[in-house]
Parts: sequence; structure tokens; C-alpha cells
Amino acid sequence: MMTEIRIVSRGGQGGVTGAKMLAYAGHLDGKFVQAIPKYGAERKGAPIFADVRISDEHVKTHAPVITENTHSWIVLEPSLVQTIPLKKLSPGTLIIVNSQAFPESLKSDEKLKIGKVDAVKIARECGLIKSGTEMVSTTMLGAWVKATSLVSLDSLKEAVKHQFGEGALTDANIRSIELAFSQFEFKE
Amino acid sequence: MCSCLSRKEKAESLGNDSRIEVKEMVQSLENPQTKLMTGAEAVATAAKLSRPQVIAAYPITPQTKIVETLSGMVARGEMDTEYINVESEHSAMGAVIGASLAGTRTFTATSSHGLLYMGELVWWAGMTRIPVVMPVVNRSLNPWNIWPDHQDAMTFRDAGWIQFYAKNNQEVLDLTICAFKIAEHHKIWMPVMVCLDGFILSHTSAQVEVPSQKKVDNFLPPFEPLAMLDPDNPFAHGSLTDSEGIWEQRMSLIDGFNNAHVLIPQIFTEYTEKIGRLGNYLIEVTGDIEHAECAVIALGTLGEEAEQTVEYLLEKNIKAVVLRPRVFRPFPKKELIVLINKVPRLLVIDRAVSFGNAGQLAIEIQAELFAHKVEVKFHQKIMGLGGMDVNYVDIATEIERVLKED
Repeated sequence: MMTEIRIVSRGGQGGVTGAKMLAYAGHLDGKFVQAIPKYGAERKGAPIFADVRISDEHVKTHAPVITENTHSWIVLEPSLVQTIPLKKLSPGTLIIVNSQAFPESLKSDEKLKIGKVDAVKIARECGLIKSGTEMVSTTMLGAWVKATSLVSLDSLKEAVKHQFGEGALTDANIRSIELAFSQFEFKE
Repeated sequence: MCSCLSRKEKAESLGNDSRIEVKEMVQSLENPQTKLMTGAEAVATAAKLSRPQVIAAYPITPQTKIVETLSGMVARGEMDTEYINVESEHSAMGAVIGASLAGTRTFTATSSHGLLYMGELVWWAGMTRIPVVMPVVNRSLNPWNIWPDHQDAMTFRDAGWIQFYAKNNQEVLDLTICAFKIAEHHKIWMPVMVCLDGFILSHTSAQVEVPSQKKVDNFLPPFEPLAMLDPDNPFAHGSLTDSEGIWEQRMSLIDGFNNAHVLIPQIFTEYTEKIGRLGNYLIEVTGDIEHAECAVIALGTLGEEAEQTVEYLLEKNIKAVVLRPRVFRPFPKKELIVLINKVPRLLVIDRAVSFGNAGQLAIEIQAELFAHKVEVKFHQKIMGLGGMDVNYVDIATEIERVLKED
């Protein structure tokens, strides 16, 4: 089985780093993984995405994930929901949004699985602010693990340690994952 | 066979639920051998293990994390290497040519416009047989461009360099280590380019099994100069000569490539025996060639993408096979013809163009088909220029088109 995930974010929010951490967590779980950043000459705030593949077999494909095949979308900023080609998604595709409330455009949807967590609030609570921007990627990964259980929580925490080393930053990120775990909710 | 299987078996045998089992798994995978790394990091890791004595590089875009990673390793004292931070790619190649002639193992890295700027000295290294190893992160050329295609390396296919095209990060590491042994073999003694697709490999993280230093040392002994500049025994290297001298040099280079064609599979075999994985082939065959309706030929990651296409098409009852030359110079002519003779039709995919003609791979294969009077239905397609995405379904669509046309 292969799970293909797209992380949608704005430059500076930590989406690309998030993809790396998620892949590393899958790696620790014994899966085959890829983390693919879609770079450009990016600027802070520009919409970007990064893809993650987590698979039971060696991954042969190198292209960005095919929209119809995506298992989940992790959206780091609510206005970016409009960049998702909703009509192309297969039934049951998961969309997790960093948002206080479920986005209007997804409210009436019955085809997809929609989840949310207020990652900005959590990031502020944990002191995860860099250059005035809330760093929400670990929180969103925590929400994704809660929603899917496709990598283990322990491995995600290990991946955070691997990324940031031992210390206050790692502790804050791990706390954000734990808060995401308790605050994540699915749309009814 | 490869780490892939043992990794999968390991994961299966450990299950995925219990906390204790997860911890054990984490420990077993923390085994330093399998690491998650980008293609650029895989190159740097391979270079470190190969103990180059001199690295010269220009660190600005389109340069990649390869030299950033290596400069960190040198600065931290993890490598016993003279690292020369030069002011341009032209100077980088100049510095490694000089260092090589002084009797040291040398390494540099570049990409796209950087390779072009280095151009004059790339030819110099090729024509004067400098055994330097240089990964080229393949990116498109002008106008200013950072996206992947093979146009940069293809521009230098005639420059007297051996060229490898890697399909994934693991092969990037394995081929880079092999490249030193191949470049420095006294019957080859020429520079090697290890090509890896920009972003698709260079910036993408995937698992790489990293061999121990001991194993690499056992495969790759210290640098043994074939000839070196020596103040006690002065001679000129690469100075202006008469036409006869140039002719003699060019003929010796042709011989060198013929030697390389024979010796590369032997060195791949030695690598496989001492370190693992690689296999001795110049062209990788994936799929059932005896029953294939169509063979796809492509370089680099497009080759591995096409492997996925083979599986995808099997579900539609279409049999395809991938022939992926991982060595492009010397061009594996005779091996290709043996394989092509087994299939009814060919689809050659190029990620570069010889403008005014066709894709370079297609042109070269057509020449061989003509020379050997091979009866095969020939199709070609240029894909993925300037970083246009090409996925396994796109390749499948092309194969289905080819099957319909015939």
C-alpha cells in the first residue's frame, strides 16, 4: 500500500520541513518514503506545496503525486483550501485544515473527509513563532497522525527530535503535536 | 538481494502496533546504514566516503547542497580534504585540473548554467584525461532556469567525459563511489560525470543505504597517479602541440572509451561484491522482455518512473519493458542492440533536445538500428523539458498511443 500526501502551505510556514519530518517518521516505522518539495524561486508567503509518499514497497515513481490518487491534504492556512482541485479528488480523500472553523467551501461537502485543528492557537500557546509567523507544521502533522494512524505518534516525535535536536524547540513542537492530538476534530 | 527486501521483512516481522516493538524497530533502523537523504546529500556522503584530497567548487546557484554539505564536513574536520572556495565554475574546474596533475584525488560539482560557464575547462579535462569526478545536477538551460531536464549534461556528451545517469538516490551514491574507481583506473583515466535529475533527486528525500568507510576503503584504494607534475622531472601537460600530437591524443581517448566500455561492468561487479546492490549492467532491464509489446528507453528518473508504468500497464494487460541505460558515455551500443532485437517496438523518451534534429538518445539509438539493420518499430517522444512533470501514467499514455499507431 502507498499513501500519498500533499502539504499545502505558504513559504515560511514550515511545510517543506513538515514533509521531511513526516517522511522521517514513516522511515522510522519501517516504511519506504519520499519527501518531495515543489520548489520555485519561493518568497515568504507564496503558496507552495510538498508531497510525501509512505509505502510498503520501494517507491519507483518520482513525479509529484497525482491529484486523483492523493490520500490526504494537509492545509497549513485556511485560504489555501481554494487551491485544492476538489472536484478531482477521489471520494474519501482527507483534507485537514489549520482553521478555527470548518472552511465555508467545505461545509456542505459530503464526498470528502474533512478535519480541522486551530494550529495557530496551538502554535502561540507553545511559543512556536518565528519572525512573526506561527510555525504550524508539526501541529498539523500531529492532527494528521491522529486522523489516520498511518505513522506512529512515537515516530513523529522522534522525527521532530531528528529535525530540531534536543532542546526547547523540540519540546515545544512535541507539545504542539500532543495538543493537536487532543484538539483535532472531524466534520460531522 | 537489496536492502529494500530486508527492510520490508524487518518491518513485517516487527509488526506495527505495540509500543515496545516500535521502539525496537526504531533502534534497528537507527543502524547508520539506512538513512533518509536527498540526492545532493547522497552525493556528498559518497564523496566523503571516497576521500577526495581536493574539492574546488563555486557555491552560488545553480550550485546545490552538494558542496554546502561537503564544505561543512571539511570545516568540522570530518574529511581530510583541501577545500578551495573559488570565484567561478571555470576556476573550480581549473583548480581540480591542477590538483589532479599534482597527484591528488579530486572532486567538484555543478549544475546547468554553472556547467556551461565551466565549459572550456570541462573540455580541457576531457581532452587531457583528468580523472576528476563531477556530479551534475541536471537542470534546464537559458533563459535563467532551475528546473530539471538533461539539456546541460547532454550539451557535454561529446566532451570526453564518461556519463552516468542515476535513477534514484541510492544509485546516485553507488555510482558516485564507483565513478572514482572508474575515472582513476589506469586503462581508463578520464573524467566522470554522475548525472542526477535536479529537484527530482537532488532535493527529494528518500532512503539510501550507506556503506561503511571500511567497505568503501576496501573497494577504493588511495589515488595512484598515472602521471603527475614533478619539479624534479619537469614536463609540459596540455600545452600547444602540432596536429599529429592532437591526433594521437584523440585516438588514445577513443581507445580509453573502448577500455571503459569493457571495464565499467567489471568495476560495477567488484562494487556489488564488496559493497552490494549495484549489479554489473550498463543497461537495466525491468519487465518481461521476451513477451513485451513495447520497450521504453529513458535515462535517469524517467527510467524508474517507467518501471512503475510497466506495473500499471500490466493491470491493463499490456506488456511493456524498460531498458534504462545508466551509462550514456561510453554509449552501450552492443548491449542495446541485443536487447532491442527481442522487442517488436521501441519508445525512446528524451528529456533533452538536439534542436534542429531530435532527442539525443533517440538519434543515437536510430544510428545503431540502422547499422545493425534491426527491424523494430521506432517511436520517440520528448518529455519533461524545463521540469514539466512526467508521471507513470503519462508514459503509459504514450505507450498506448504507440500501440494504437502501429
